[in-house]
Amino acid sequence: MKTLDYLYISFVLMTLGVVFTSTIKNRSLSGLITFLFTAGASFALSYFSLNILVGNKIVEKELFSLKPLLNSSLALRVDGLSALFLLIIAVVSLCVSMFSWKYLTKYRQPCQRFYPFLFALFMTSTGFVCVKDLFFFIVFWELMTLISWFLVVFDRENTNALKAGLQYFIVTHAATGFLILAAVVIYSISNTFDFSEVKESFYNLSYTNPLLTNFLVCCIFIAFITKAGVLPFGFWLPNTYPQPPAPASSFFGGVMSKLAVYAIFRFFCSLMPISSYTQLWGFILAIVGSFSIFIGTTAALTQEEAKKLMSFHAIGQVGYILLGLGVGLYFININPFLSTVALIGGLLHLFNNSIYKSLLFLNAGSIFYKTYTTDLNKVSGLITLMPTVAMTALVGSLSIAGVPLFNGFVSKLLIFESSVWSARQTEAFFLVRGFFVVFGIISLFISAVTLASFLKFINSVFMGKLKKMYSNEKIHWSMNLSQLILALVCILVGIFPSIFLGLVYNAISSSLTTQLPSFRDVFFTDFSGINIFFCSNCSAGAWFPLFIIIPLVILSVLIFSFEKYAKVSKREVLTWYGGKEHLPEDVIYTGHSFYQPFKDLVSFKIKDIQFKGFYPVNTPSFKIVIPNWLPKIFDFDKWLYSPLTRKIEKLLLLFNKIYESITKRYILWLIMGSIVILFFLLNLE
Amino acid sequence: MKLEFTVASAFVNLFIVLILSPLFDGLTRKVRALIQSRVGPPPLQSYYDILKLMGKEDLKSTINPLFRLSPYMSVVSIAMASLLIPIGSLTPPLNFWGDIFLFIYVITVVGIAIIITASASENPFAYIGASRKMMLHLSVEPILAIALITGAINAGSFKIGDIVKWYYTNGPNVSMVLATVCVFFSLQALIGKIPFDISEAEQELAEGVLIELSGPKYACVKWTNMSRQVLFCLVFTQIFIPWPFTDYFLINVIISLLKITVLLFISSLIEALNPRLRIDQALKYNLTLALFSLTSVFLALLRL
Repeated sequence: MKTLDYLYISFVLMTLGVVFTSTIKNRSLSGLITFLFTAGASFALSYFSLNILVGNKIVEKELFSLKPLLNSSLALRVDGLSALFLLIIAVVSLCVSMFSWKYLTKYRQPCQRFYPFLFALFMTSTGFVCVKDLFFFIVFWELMTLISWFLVVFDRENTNALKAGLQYFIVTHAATGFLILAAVVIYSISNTFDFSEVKESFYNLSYTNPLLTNFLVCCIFIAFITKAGVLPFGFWLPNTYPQPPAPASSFFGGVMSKLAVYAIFRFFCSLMPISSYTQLWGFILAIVGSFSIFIGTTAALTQEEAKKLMSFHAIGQVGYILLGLGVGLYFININPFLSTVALIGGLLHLFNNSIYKSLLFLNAGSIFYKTYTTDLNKVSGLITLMPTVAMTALVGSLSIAGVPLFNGFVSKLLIFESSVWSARQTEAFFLVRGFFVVFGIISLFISAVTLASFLKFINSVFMGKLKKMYSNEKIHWSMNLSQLILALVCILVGIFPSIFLGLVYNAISSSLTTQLPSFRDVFFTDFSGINIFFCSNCSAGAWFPLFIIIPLVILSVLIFSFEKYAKVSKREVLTWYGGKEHLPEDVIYTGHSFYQPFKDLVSFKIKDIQFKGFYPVNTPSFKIVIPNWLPKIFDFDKWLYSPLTRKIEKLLLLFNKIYESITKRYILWLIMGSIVILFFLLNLE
Repeated sequence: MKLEFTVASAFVNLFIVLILSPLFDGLTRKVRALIQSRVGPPPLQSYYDILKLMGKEDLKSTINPLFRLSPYMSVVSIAMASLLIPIGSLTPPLNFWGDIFLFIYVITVVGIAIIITASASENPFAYIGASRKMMLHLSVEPILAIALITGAINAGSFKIGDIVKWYYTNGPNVSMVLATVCVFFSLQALIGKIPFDISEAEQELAEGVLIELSGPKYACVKWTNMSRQVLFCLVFTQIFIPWPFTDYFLINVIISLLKITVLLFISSLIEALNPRLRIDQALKYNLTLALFSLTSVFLALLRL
């Protein structure tokens, strides 16, 4: 069997999934079919992508062509970068479909409105990363946006969902407009949509017309950055992502927003030549990235609804990826070592982020499944009801905060170190270096803010007293298993980073236009960890998780044996409220109260706009003052139609009066008329 | 680097940070008592406290498994952090295995362990303490991070051993002196003593994060707090003031012990003579200091 056949198999399976799920009404059966078909498809996909990633292969095939109509053809090209994203899609879609099997029983809406669209979303995102033709790239992009919009407005009775859906629809389509504009300009220059031709025309254009090149880059940048949810263009994201059912928001946060980053990687790394404006746009990417890291995450700290909190973190985490990418692009000519570390850090963070972000959204889904709410103020003490969910949520939270031995640490380490190391590159302008170092420090500080906000999530949802009794219904094993798989991936990447770094290096090097220093020169790796080199033969940073585990295990064994040896008696007691008797409900510490002084510090008011964590809560109401004459011009009734009709009416009335007059006058008229006629006749003679 | 040296220096670090820390704590208690015209406990009192608590009954206010685990995790992570500090020689035992970012995060894990213990205990006082502890950590962590990053920019390496080596051989420059001063001003917040013991304030929160702990768990968290004092004093004396330094391992250890004693004496003077800050005041103080300490990074960029 050829490698590409696996891709076809997964596509066929997903198409069959759409067909079956749109006809079956039974929720459980439909969910099972979703799970089974997606499982098959994602195994085929992951085999396919690993095959390409490990072997560092490139697969190309043209399926059909639109030649007579348009110089475009549906051509597949799967290189390392696409394969990495296929791997992400495979893992996340498997877990998402497994989770949604039983999850949808909690909704009243018909399941035909969910499962087929989920399949279609998997399909379009798979297609999006595989094509090498700008036209079909946009087609898949647009289809993905539309299908995700259907999922956003899944709950049609909810006005919030409809509002968010409308906002999402308008904003993403405005962004797609920029993309189409850029595509049309490119087509008018290169006369084809094929990526390899586009690349060449970009190369020529950057010499002949730099202004137009920058304009095109700007259009593409705005189009994708809006979908990725980077502030200030990502204002729609916190409203939209919490609306669909949790599996769908998990796929949105884990994969869909990352596909926009894929497009940015594709355009900036492999379609555009490395030239002077690479530096400029690298710097812009870093600025935008750190801006959204800072604002997105501090705003997340003030949120009190689990899914909304995670959506704000989605904004912040995309910032980290863009910071890595930006540093990488800026220094690609100055110091390829540094740029390699930064690019790998960014892309590895993308992989990690899609894993733990989808895990956290699934956790929020499990909370909703049990309690019908995700409000942090309304639930507490759920660890006794769902220990697996609580533990996986803890793993996800520690991963997103970048705690050592979890996956977030590795990628964040690379991003911090590369952005701080740029201080040593004296070739770059002093202020630029200063900016990069400050970005590094901001991201380090925000990493602690991330930890704070997720500890708030864990503490208020899972810890504390159970507020009321919920139904005894156990969480289905499929839901627990899907979260366990994702949590295991988090830990696996955290403990064996060198394997994944190698895969990501293959992905970057196969798609980049220039040659990077070899993997062995940048990272000295073995099974136990990595040594990072920022120039040839100077080891500057290190992370050896396996060696950290050895003292960790020894110390833990020592401490626990100490406890065992002490052999103290244990007794269960009531919580001590300072000597007074209270009901647990009276003294509960809700999510709202967490970090209140800090929230006050970052919340302020400018005129009418309330900022919470530097993020405007209420949008300013724009009042457009219309001059008085403007509506009058358009009021044709008033100045044209009504006067005219009145005049005509008067005229007609006059005639009417004449007609309706008495007989005498009538006769008079007749006589006068006949006299006039007589005169005429006499004159004629 | 030889394996024997790694193991030997690891044992020395663990010995100083874990085993000697109650002694240093007893010392500070004695100093504080003398300032407040009391007789004070004997210097070994903290050992007696820990040993006594180890045998006391373990009261559980919850069935949460995290409540059982996380106090012990805090001790383990303090011990891990101690392995990244150079004491006997200019390179720490785990120099090869991690760098400043690992160190910053391992310290964070200590906080996480205590916060999770507190919130798992289901007590609202503990919750308030946990929330305050996180905020303090949030505001004080950037100062230490910026100081270490200043060192890293100067030395051209993220490994603590390389930074200390560079600092020792090249002597202080303006940026490092500024970073050192900033770390000194945040030291009291780092070790969580008055005026920054806001998360455990006895008078208002009844020990806050520690309220539901008893027996061995309480002993562990108390031990962690004592070790944290010694750890951060070591960070200050060994990374930011690495002088004087000799070629002999044991003499270096003794010098570092003397340096910590002096520093702890200063710290307990501050503790005895100052009132506790409110949390918002502490946040403002720390964040202003963090913003100010950014200048050290820019000075380092200018190679000053």
